[in-house]
Amino acid sequence: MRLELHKVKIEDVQWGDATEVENNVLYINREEITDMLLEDDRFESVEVDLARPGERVRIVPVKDVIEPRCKIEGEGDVFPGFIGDVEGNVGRGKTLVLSGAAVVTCGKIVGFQEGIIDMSGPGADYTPFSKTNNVVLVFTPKEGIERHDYEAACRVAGLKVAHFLAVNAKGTSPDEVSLYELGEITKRPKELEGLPRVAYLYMLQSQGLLHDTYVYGVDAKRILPTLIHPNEVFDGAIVSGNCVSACDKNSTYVHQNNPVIEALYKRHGRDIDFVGCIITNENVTLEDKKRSSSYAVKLAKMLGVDGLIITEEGFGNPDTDLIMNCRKAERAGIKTVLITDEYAGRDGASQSLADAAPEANAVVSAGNANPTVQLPPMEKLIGFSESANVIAGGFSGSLKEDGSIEVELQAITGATNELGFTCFSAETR
Amino acid sequence: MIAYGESLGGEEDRGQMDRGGIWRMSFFYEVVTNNPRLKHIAGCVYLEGCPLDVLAMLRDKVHDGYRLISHPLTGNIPPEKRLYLTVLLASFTSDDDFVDQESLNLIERALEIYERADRNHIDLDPSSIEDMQFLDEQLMMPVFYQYGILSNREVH
Repeated sequence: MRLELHKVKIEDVQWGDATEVENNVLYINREEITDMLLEDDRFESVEVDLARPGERVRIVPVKDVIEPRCKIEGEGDVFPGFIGDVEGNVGRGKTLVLSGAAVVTCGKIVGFQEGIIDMSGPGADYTPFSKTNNVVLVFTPKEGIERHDYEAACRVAGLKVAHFLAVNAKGTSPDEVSLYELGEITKRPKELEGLPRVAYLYMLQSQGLLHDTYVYGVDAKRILPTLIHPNEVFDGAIVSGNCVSACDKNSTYVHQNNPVIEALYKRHGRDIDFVGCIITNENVTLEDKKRSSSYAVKLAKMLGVDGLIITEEGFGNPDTDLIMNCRKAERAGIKTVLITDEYAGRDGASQSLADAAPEANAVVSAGNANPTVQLPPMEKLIGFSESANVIAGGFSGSLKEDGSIEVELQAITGATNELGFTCFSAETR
Repeated sequence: MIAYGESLGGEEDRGQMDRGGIWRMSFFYEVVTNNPRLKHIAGCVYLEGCPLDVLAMLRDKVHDGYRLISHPLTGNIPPEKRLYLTVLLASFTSDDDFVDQESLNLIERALEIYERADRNHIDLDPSSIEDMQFLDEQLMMPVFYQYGILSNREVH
């Protein structure tokens, strides 16, 4: 399967008479976007705003971040099951990417489970989405709308706009083309012989209602672990639909740009043979946990892999799935490396995960979510400011009279992302 | 307490599990919660208290032969902020001495996490309390449907 990502670099976002891209600037016709979104009668109102890197702007409460993409060649369209049809498979042909732009959705679905993005100041250093040119959508639901429906409406609205922005840029010549190609598992070329076979075990948040991830439009809670081609992920086959802590939420943007897949592709043919991805879920019942971890490891054995990279989403109960996957794989003779973040207390001295095993002897940390950070007041606030008091990582009184906020890192969108899509790094000398 | 035995058709519901023998026995489901939204559920043990109290009761129940069906740490809610906890258990009536070690380990681990959390500053506004109750309920809904505790509603 071969996919070309045609990346148009977006260096600025501006209001315009038409929604289009010209000279690397994304222009937004505000009315056009608002009208399109208000077709959904679950919304009382929709505000469209812009936030650029370096501006004194705070966005809160952030639900999801999505990268504008659309297909320009190949089967279907991005976000299959939501935008694209599910006939055929994405992951082939050419996809247009507005690189450097993002759609940010804001809503008070479950207040305390959403996040903060600061476009400048100390908070900006912790979120990758302070560096993107953001089109922010703030949704107020009609009275009486159930929260599931509100969540579903916000989710689809974000995908719609992301797709629409890319479609309106069709014909723009790309600044960069990245090629991703991975052949059939059973027909490996000679140059891969002797290289260790590595697959990616990709755990998807699926703890329950409002804690869901979608694969081709299917709720991941209802899947058995299965195979997915990495290129399908780049085309939006995996969509975030959850309200978990902001710092380690895998936003749709992060799925679309999964850095683990990028890294495995880079090393494919060099020092590893990247076989593909196995997706699995993180359900709350122990029976589901046992079934999914056994099944996922069985798939890995069937693929004959020597190594597995395992990532999780969220903390607490998903740590149990992470450790089950690790232990079962190691016992089946497959080496594992885990990627997670930590909740090790403000001083970093507490145990980081809710579960552990001696087999988990290679773990990459994306950072500790508990240290606090002071966010100074901003000139402009997009969204609903009172959320800062109730957000996970914030506390009553977090929001000061002058507009500054004291929060734990877990309140900042993407701060300790467990796919490693973060601004943190560490070095040993 | 809801009994699931042969006479209630529980065997058909759980037919796919009916291999190892253990499921053939009559057993009971029990929900332990401190969430007032879930008081009404049949077979629910409601207690007024914090998640630590729920965990303590779960531990007692596991020592009494119950087994955890759902994980004691649902929903990515930091322990220093969490107000409500709901867990589904099953009891096997055939073996009085049965203690499920896996359930016990999970509860002990959850207790450790809650005990070390600084819960002195829980001071949430009423809308957050409502959100917490709602979220706790929502997280458990698919489990209740999956195990037939609730029925006649499509799981979202």
